[in-house]
Order: sequence, then structure tokens, then C-alpha cells
Amino acid sequence: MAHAGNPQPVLTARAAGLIGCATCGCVSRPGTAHCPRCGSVLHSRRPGSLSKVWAWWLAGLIAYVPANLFPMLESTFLGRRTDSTIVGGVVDLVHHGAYFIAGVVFFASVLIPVGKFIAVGYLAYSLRYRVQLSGHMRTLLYEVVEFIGRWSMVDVFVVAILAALVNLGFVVGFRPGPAAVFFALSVACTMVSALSLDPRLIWDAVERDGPDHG
Amino acid sequence: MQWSETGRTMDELKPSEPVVEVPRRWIPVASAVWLVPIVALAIALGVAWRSYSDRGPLIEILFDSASGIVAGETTVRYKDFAIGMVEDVRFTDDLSQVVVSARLHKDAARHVDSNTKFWLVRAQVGPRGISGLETVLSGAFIGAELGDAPGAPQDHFTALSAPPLTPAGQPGLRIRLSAPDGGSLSVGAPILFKQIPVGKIEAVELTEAGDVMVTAFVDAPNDRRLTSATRFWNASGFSIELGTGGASLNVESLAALVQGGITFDTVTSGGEPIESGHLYRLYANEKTARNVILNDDPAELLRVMTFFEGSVRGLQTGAPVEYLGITVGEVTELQSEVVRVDDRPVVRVRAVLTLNPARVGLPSDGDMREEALDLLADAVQRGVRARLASANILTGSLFVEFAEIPDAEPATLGRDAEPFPEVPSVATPSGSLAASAEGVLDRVQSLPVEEVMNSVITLLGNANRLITDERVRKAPENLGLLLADLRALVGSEAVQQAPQDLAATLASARALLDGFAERQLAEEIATTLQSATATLDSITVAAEGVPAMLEEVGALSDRARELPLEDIVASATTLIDDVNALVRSDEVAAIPPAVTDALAELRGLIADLRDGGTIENVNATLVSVRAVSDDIAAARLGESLKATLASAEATAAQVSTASEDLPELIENLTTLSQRMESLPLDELVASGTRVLGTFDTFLASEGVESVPPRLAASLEELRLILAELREGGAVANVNATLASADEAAAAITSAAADLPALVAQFSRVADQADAALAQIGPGSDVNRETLMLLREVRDAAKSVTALVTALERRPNSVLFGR
Repeated sequence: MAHAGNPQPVLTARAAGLIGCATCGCVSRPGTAHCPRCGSVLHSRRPGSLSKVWAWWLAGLIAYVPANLFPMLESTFLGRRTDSTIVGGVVDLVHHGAYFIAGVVFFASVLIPVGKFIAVGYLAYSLRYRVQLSGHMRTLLYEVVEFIGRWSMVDVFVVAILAALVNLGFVVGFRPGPAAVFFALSVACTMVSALSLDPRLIWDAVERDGPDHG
Repeated sequence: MQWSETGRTMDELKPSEPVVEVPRRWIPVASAVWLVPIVALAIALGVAWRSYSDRGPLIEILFDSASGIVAGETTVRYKDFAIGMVEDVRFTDDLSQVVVSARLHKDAARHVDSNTKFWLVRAQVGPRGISGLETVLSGAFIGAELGDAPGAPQDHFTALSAPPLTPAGQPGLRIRLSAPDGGSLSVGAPILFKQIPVGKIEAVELTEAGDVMVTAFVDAPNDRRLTSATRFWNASGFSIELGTGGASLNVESLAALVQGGITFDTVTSGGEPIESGHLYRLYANEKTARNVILNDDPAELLRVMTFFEGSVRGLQTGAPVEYLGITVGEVTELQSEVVRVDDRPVVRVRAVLTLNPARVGLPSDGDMREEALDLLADAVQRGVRARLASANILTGSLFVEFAEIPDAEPATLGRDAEPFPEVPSVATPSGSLAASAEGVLDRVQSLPVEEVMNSVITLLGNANRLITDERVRKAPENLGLLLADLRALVGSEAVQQAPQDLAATLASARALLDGFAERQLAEEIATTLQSATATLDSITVAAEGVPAMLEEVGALSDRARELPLEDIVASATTLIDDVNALVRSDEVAAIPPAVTDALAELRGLIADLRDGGTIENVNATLVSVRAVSDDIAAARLGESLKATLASAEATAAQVSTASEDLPELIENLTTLSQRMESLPLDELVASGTRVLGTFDTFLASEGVESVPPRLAASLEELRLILAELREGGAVANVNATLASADEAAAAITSAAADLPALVAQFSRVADQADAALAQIGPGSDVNRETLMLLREVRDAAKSVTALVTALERRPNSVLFGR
């Protein structure tokens, strides 16, 4: 939208018959296999980018299901074992009045992964099909996803730290549940999925749909 | 590049023909990256499948309350090992119960069937101790007991209200006890044997009939102590017994005090091993259990009836039936009925007696009732009859006795009588039952106590006087004098001469015999001997019949041996004892002094005799005898003797002739001995025994006891008479009598002096009894202490209850506070 008023058309390297290096930005002639400056492999557009995105996205989604069904944390308190799933843990925290922590956990473990699935999926979808979304917004979305994706590992970190630090035997102890592995896998898969997306495809879509679109 | 160099405008700029790569398909079929979601899917599905296939079945358990059960936390445990987890807790449709859904582990699930039991395990504090303490920290769990035998599959269960007291498969015996009331018994109360717990009560329930049925389990190896002869009684609470040995407080154990308890013991021998589920009777207390006559098994009891004419007042149902002094049964029914005798209605009492044949000693195998009836029939044949006897002289209660009546009218056991076999009865001797306490007291009252006392006092006075008598002291002296006189008598010339006279007499006799020899009497004797030999021959012939006779005699002696000589001997012994006692009695002891006096008299008599020249008389008599024998010799009595021998010979010949009749005689003898054998010697001996017994009784009777005093009195009188004769002194007699009276008066005086002391003693005893009673009366120390003790016990019980309640509600409150 911010660029909506830009009258000048954007000429992409691809439109100019050149290839930009994704690493250092150096523009080379087509046919060049490696960037003369940094030696990276040159692609006008990364081959199979969307395909990779979709594959990792799907794997992440699959892993996210058991990550929510199985218990994330097995806590033992005075001999009583309590298994809590991600959502169950949040509910427990709310019951105990720890709203802030509940909010953090809910944000990091539920909102971010789910939002990431939606964002990546939406981006990938928008590259293939016509979607009313400005190129700038898409780029913004992409950057946010990239930035915030790593924070969804907070829950896994909490589990790992608890399990490592708090282990007093009978009195109190924590063990990661099977969901922790699946959650970590899910987060990893979505990160890879987001990385697999070649942002230059967004520009192609803008070119194709027109800058005013959306 | 081109446009920057040429400086053409954007519009002019015409990018070189872009190198359009071959359009790619967005989703390449063979792209390796698609392996990632496939693998992820495979893993997720695999994990899901595994967790699904590992899940066991979901079962539902009905609880009365969900106390302590938390879904997702409460485990189901068998032998303290988790075999499942509660997944859901909800109400039944009518809200009456709680349905707990539990997910079982797959391994354990196949053992959960219709034999499985579930219950809630919580911390419990009771008189038997604390259990389930582990649940204080971990929370309650559902205990499970998997049946040892496979049963039908089941997934709906109803939880037990309490943990089963006996784990399945525990060795031991489960028994049932039938009791008239619960008697403060509770589940878990101990079964005690010699005050050691050997089992537990598992259930106390009411039956349809209204009895209390107690189910108990006795652990191995003590279950071997249970036989069919074992008796159980309630040992709950405590008992206080007041007896001659003082007061005693009996408490079996604290648990038995609080929860109740059952004790058992085997009171009779000959019990058989029992099987699980055996039914016993539970008696109210130990005494009842031990004294009860009738067995638990009614199949072994024999019921007979008997009729009594006249009053049976004092006879109650439950009164014992005795035979030979042993209780063999009890009266179970008393009923009067009207029968017609000689067309006149007569009321008689029918008593049903329940007998326990095992009490008589009949072996328990075989048909005991038939054997007992045979035994009873035989006894009735011998004269055994039922009759009433007095059990307690104070209360006048009666019991039934099977007594042997010697002269009973012949009767038989009415085996076909309805409804029970009839035992003939005899009337009770009148008066023997009327011997009530009152009669005894009357008799005691009518005893001539005063007279006896007077007699005793007199006797003592007499004895005193006798001993202090001068003459008694002189008795030894008199005896010495008597001996001296005797010696003088023996030493007298006349007595010395007596042997010489005797020698002369013997010489005469020898001369007489010489005369016999001269007359060749030997031949006569020889003839006589021949006759005797012939007689002996005849006897030898006759002797052949003797062995038969001897057999008869042997049989006779056998019978004689069977005679109850022991009884006779016993009677004789008793007789001798009585005689002994008689001899030992004081009265007899009083005889010697009299004898002494008599001896003195005798001495005087002998002295008189000596003075009177009796010795000379004897001497003269001997001389006369000698003269007579001389005369005989002179009269040549040999001739007469010869004739006499001839007669004897003839007689011997006659005897020889007569001895031919000896066999007949022996036959007669044999017959006689047979007849003797058939004589009722038993009765004779019995009569003898009775005679001895009568004699015994006679000796033991008061009359005989009074004989020695009478004898003593007679002797005393004799002595007095002699003394009077000798001294003619009645003054001494009067003196003695006065002294006796004096002593008697003194005795009465001292007795009168003792009377106030006696009254004072009585008074003290009454005071002490009063004080003792006051000590345990209301407001007394003992009473107050007891009340305080009871209050403390109650407070302690309340504290324990509060602790238990707190623990049951919130087990962790011990750690975290309320």
C-alpha cells in the first residue's frame, strides 16, 4: 500500500534478463552459474521453491497435530504425576492465576505456530493464485514470519530448561513428553518452509498481478 | 547495461529478450522434498497407532462416592502396581452413585473378569492399626484384586465398600457362624485362639430368617485346629466375674474390646476336619459354649420322650438329662396332655429329651441314632427308667435322670411311639424331692443342739474327773500288784506239783496202750485197713466222675470270681474304717481307765481266789483225773476197745459196700453243684454287699456312734458300782457330781462372757461390709475414677476419630495443613 502511489514501474532483474545473486545482490548475465563476487549458486528463481515450501509446511502441520494431542510436560509433584498438553498447560496456568505466563505460552506455542501456518500457506497460495494483497504487504508478512518463527520454540525451551534444572526426585520433577519432540519438529519444519520461499517470487506475482492489485 | 550506456529513456529501453526458462510445474511429482511430509505423516500415524493399540479396555466401576478419585490422576493398582488410570468420573443417571471410567493397561486387562474386585484405598486409622498410609501423599487409589481363576469377561463392576480383608488365594478356611445377635461384632474383628489372632471377621450380615450370619476367615496353618467339634463364642468386650476367689476382669484384647472378637476352642474330642464354608453356631460366652450339650449337627441328635405323672414343678426346658452322672442331653420340650386310663381322663406331662449319643461315647461313624436306640432299649431291659431328680436343693430345680431301678416293673423301650420313642419312667420317691432348703433348715433347727452341748459338757466333766481320779493313777500300781500275785500263784507249791501229776497221767495212758499191743490188736487193724482199701477202690472208681464235677466246681468258682467281691471288700473296708473310727473315738479311749479299775477288781478277785485255795482244788482235780485214768487202765477197757474195733471193721465193710453207690453220690454232688451254680449267687453276694452296706450304714448311724459313750458310761457305772462296793463311799460320787456341775457352770459362764465379743465381731463384719459397699456406691472414689477413666477413653476415641476423619478427607493435610 505504501508503494501504491509509486508511479514508476519496477524493473526486476529477471525482467531485465539478468540474474541477481540472492546472497550479495550482484547482478550477472544469464547463463552464469556462480556469482562472480561471492561464488554462490545463481538462480533467477530458486527451482522448486514453492514445492519445497508446501512440503515442509505440510510436514510441520502433520507434526503439529500430535504436538497438541500428546502431553508436552510430565510433571511430578510429591509423587503425583500430572501430564499436561500445551493447551492444557495454558488452562492450568490460567487456573492458577498466572495470566502473564499463560499469555506468553499461549502466544508462543499456539498463536505463533498457527499464525505461521496461515501466513506461509497464504503466501504460497498467493504466489500461485490471484490474491488481493499488495506486494508490500506480502513482503511484510514474509519478514514477520521469518523474524518471529524462532520464538515459537519458547515452549520447547521451557520444557528443556525445566527438565534439566528442576529434578528433585520424589518431591518435584519434570520430564518432556512426546509432544515436545513433535512440537520442535513442527517448528523446525515451518522454519524450513518459510526459508524455502524465494521472496523474488512475490515480485513476480506483483508483476503479474500489477502493483495496484489489492 | 545497454540502456545505461546509450542513455535512452525508459520507454526506449527494450530489455533484451529475457531468457525464459522452461516453465516448471509447481509440484514436481518426483521431487525429493515431498518425502519430508510423507515421513512426518508416517511417524505421526505410527505414534498414533501405537498409542491407540497400547490402550487397554475402558471399564466402568460403580462407587458410592468419588471421595479422593481424580480423573487422570487416580490409578488402579493390583499388588501396588498400577494397571490402569481413571479417565472419567461421572454420576449415574439417578445421581445415586458415581461411575468411574478407568483405562486399563493392555497386559492387565485380560486378567480383569467377573472375579475381579475393586475398592477404594485410603488411609485408615483403626483399632487394628494404620493402613494405606502411602495414600496420604500419593492420593487415594483404586485397589484391584484379580481373581485367580479365569472368569467371564466383564467391563462393568461395582466397587466394594471396604477392601477385602482376605486376599484371594490366601491359604486358610472360610467359615460361617450363625448367631442370635450381632453381639457388637464388626467387620475386621479378630478371631482369637488362646487370645492369639488367627483370623478375621469378613462380614456380619442379617439373614432372611433374622439371624446374624458372620463370615470369617481363619488363616493357615491355624485352620487345621477347626474341626466339627470346635465351638465358637463371642469374646467381645469384657466380663467381670465375682466369685469366691474375688473379682476378676477379663479382656481378650484391645481390638476385641473395641471391635468385638470371636474365640474358639475344641471342647470335645472326635471332631472331623471341615471344609470351607462350614456353618458353626456362635455362642454368647465361653461358659455356654463349653457346657452346651447338643451338638451343632442336628442329624446326630436323638430325641426321645417320656411321661411323668404328677407335678414336674422345677423342671424346665434346658434342664440336663443325666445317665450315670454324665449329662447326655437336655429337656427340649415340656407339654401336658390328657390320656384316658380306665375310661378316666388323666393328665400327664410329656417331656421331650434331646440326647447327644456322642456324649455317651458312641463312635461317630455309622448310624449313631440307631445304635443309641439299641443301647437305650437294652438299658430299659435292665431296669433303667427315666425319673426326676433334684438338681438344686435351694431352688428346687429338677433334672431328668436315667436311673437303674432294681425292682422296676418290666417294661420296654417304646420304639414305635409317636412322635418320638418312649422311655418308660418311674414315679419319683415321694419326699425326696420335697427336701427343699426349708426342710433342711427345719431339720437343722430341730437338732438337739442344747442337749448335745450339755452331754458334751457332762462328758468332758466326767473325763476330767476320771483322769484326775486317784485310782486311775493307781491303776499301773494295781497291775504290778496283780502280776506279783500271779507270779506268786505260779510259784506256789501246788502249781509246781501239777506237772508231776500230768506226767503220772501220761504214764497211765502209756500203760493203757501197752495193754492194747499185748492183745494183738494189729490184726484187727489190718483187717480194718483192708476194708478201707476196698472202700478206697470203690472211691477210685467213683473218682472217674470227679473231673466232671470239678468242671462244675470250676465253673462255680468262676462265677464266684465274677461276684462283685470288690464291692464286698469295699464295704468291709468301709466297715473297718468305721470300726477304726469308732475305736479311735474318745468314748473308746475312756474305756481303758475302766478296764484298769476292772483289772484292780480282778486282782482282788484273784487274791480272793488264792486265799480261797483254788489252786489246791485244781490240784485235787488233777489227782482225781489221774485216779480215773488209773481206774480205766485197771478196768481193762482194752476188751471193750477190741469190740469197738470189730464194730469199726464191720462199719468199714459197710462203707465199702456203700461206696459202690459213690458214683451215684458224685452224680448227686454234681447235680448239687450245678444247682448251686444256678443259685442266684449274684443276688446272694449283692445281698451280702447290701448287708455289709447296711451294717456300714448302721455303724455310721448316730445310734452306733452313741454306743461307745454308752459303753463308757456302762463301764463308768460298773466302775462306780465296784468302787461303791469296795469303798462304799457315795461322798466321792456326790463330790464328783458337784465338781462336774461346777465345771459346767464355769463353761456356761465363759460362754456367756464370749457372747458380747461375738456380737461385737458381728457388728464389725457388718460395718466392713457396709464400708465395702459404700466404696463402690455412687459418688465413691471407685465410681468417680471409673467415670473419669471412661471419659478419658471417650475423649481419646474422639481425638482418634477426628484424626481419622481429617486424614480420610484430606490425606495431605498432614503435610500441608488444612
